[in-house]
Amino acid sequence: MLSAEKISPRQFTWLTVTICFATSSIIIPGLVAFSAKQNSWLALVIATIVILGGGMLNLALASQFPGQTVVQYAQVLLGPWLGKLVGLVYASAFLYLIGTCLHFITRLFKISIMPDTPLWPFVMGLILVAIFYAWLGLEPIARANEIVLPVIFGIILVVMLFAIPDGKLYQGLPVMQLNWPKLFEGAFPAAACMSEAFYILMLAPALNQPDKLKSSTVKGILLTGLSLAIMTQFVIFILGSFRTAAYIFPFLRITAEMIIWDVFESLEPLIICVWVMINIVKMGTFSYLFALSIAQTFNLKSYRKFLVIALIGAPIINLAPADLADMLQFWVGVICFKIVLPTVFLVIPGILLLIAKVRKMHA
Amino acid sequence: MSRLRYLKTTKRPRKHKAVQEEVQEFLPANSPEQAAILAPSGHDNNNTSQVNISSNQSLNGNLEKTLEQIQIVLGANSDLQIHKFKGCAGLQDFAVVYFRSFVGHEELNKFILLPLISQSSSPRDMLEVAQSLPFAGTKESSIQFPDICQAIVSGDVVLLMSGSPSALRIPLKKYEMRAISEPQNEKIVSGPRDGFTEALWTNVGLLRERIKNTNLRVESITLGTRTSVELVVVYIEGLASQQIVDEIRSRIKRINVDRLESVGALNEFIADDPWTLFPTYLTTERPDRLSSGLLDGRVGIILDGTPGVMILPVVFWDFLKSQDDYIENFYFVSLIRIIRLISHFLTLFLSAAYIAVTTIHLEMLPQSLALIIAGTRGSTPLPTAFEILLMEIVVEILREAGMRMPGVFGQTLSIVGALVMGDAAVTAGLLEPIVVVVVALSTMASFAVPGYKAAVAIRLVRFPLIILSAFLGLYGLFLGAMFFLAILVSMRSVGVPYFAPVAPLMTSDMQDFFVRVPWWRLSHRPKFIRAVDKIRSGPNQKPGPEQES
Repeated sequence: MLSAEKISPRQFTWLTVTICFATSSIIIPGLVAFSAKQNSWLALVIATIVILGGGMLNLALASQFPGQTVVQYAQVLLGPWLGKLVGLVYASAFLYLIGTCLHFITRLFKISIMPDTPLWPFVMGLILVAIFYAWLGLEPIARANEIVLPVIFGIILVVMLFAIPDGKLYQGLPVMQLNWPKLFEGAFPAAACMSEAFYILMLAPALNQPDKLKSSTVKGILLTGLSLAIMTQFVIFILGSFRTAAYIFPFLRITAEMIIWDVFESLEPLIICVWVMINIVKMGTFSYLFALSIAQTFNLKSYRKFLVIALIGAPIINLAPADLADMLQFWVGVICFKIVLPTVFLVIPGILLLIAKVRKMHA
Repeated sequence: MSRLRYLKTTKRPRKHKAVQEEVQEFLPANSPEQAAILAPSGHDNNNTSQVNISSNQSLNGNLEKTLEQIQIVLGANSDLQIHKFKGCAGLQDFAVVYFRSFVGHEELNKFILLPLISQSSSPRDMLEVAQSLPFAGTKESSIQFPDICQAIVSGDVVLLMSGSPSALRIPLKKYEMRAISEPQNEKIVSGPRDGFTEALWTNVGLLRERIKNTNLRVESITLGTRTSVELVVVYIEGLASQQIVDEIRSRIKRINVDRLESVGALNEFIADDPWTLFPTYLTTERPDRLSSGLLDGRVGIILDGTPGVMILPVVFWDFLKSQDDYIENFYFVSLIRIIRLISHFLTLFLSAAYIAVTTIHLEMLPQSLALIIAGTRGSTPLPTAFEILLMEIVVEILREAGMRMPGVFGQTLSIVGALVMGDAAVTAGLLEPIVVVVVALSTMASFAVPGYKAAVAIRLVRFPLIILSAFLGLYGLFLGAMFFLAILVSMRSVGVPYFAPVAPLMTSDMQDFFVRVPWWRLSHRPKFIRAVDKIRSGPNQKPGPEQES
């Protein structure tokens, strides 16, 4: 039951885009523009190259153990106890990311649209639907993503088309006036967000054509990097780098100010709802992988019962930080970007790959 | 490989043994004599005949004894006819047993009694009798006791001869059937006007008339323990996926039920997801639609006694298609299909979106429209969500009442219900005029979708969406939409993903999807059907002046 579900390379690529793009597309333009200003696109190119490098490390590890997830081969490489600990680290990372994602979406809705409504209906509604996806399995998640991802890209494209008249070319100037430390500073949050691509270590065995794992992952990361770069630069083109950095959700600012044909205006709720859709897919995937990690850590046949932990745990994590600024500064900026994601994307895969190589040499 | 796994896992456990025992207790013998003949086995898994007749009895050649046994099994029935006569110039005793509700005296005299009475020599066995009678006998015509009663209740005449260990089953069933006519629910502008009837073999004949192919296979299966019903599985060998055919056949053969009355009931036994709201099969009364389906590589199931034929596998988008689509101009068809898709969305989301926008996200509306809505809302006592729900329920009542009413009254009801009541409610200040417009539009849109069963499912889904929108606005609407999307993308029809070719995306199948390309471009069968032969037409089918070689 655990490893039986298969997805196609295209679904894998699209899922990678969704995972990396869903949350980052809301906050990245502001975070990157804060340091990199009008050269944010370059910061995003740097971030994409870094993630491609990290992705290669992860792919190299996955290719050593075809048909197995990181949780399974960690137990082979490190022994049962340490291996189980790695499994629990990955499960915790997934749970933490679900909680973070839940926090962003629910606060976004509450702050921007329905300030008088209590938080719990947003939290419970979102997590219930996400868990339902995870309960149905990976194939339905990948299929739903094939509908949701084009919808969100379509909406972003439409917004961009109608916002073009408000753009000012000088907002992107001067081009290539480079301040490298600031560029790398700007690239860091983008790279941290995109390092959610570590999920491929858990999902690699689900690909129905294992030989296309590398190309699917690379395509996914490149597409995400490209989309984020275009989107961020577009927001700067409309709002200017100063205003972009001032907003937590700058793209939504554009939709809030936009009026189409004097008929459609304040389309913010609609855009946020579309974001809800893509984040449901992301949270569904992470919930599935969270439950899968625990089930594989303890060699159990069914993952579904562990979804209850996600159902309870994610809202608790979501409620822990006091407000959005606190969340961004400490829980995301420090805990998530500097500890959780580097650990699961670079440190653990690096150690595991090293051990695998050493073992192979001795064998 | 994953499909194989899926099909394997769709096998459901058999009914609990205790339930089976309970069912057996439910089939008692009516009298001690009958009990001696009736078997205690109750339901069996073969489903090939009614099983409450002992299979151990055989004819010993004693005509009187056999007739007595038949009388005991079939009980006191006013239409049961047992007619004894001497044939072969008075040398041989015969008896015919039949229900007069099925068999006419004229046919009986002409095809059985007169030929036997006028015969001069005494036949040696039933085979010789069969050869002397003017009907096309088959191997199965000669039957033993367990099948005799079944043959009689099925409408055949059973001929018994003293001294013969077997009986002859003679098909003389005369049953008035509806003539072939145009299906009322699937009218098309141009194209063939014939439709299936309630007679199974007439329907098979209509199909054979369209598919003159030696590979057309018609497999008969009999179901039902209390009353049997025959169904046929039809497909084109070498075109339909054998795996899908085998899966359908095995699912049907697993059915162990006392009766099967419709294709809807049949589907509930063989569906991939037993709790599904959305239809996973297509019902058609049009022979041309069935033949199109079979030629695409699908499988049909024709059930005796019902004109609706089941087509499997199907995807959600098949319900947006009509048989007209392959007759009319492809530009027009493409436009119509997009309109049908918009209708689907309107049915599903219009009422819910109206509630969300006008009650929670009013800032999204242009000022002029917001003022109009605010002006009308001020005078009505009920909240918008309640008004919409009320109106939706009233429309459902009207629709249901209109269907049950005779034709003329149905129209009157529509006028009184929709026009008079609606107008009165608005004038009295009970409803907002825009609410009436919104509900009317979403109702009309539901009728624009050709697949009735899908439209019904969509109509049901919009109620939870309305409630979610009333509480959480667009957030609730999108949550609900994502929930139902999860259901749709997880569904399968005989192993085929229900939301194909959108999810999973199959770009090659897009040529006959939202739009239809010309026939000469439809070179491949839909991939999701998994037809064995994927090529539909040869190369260079584009019309135009013949090119010089």
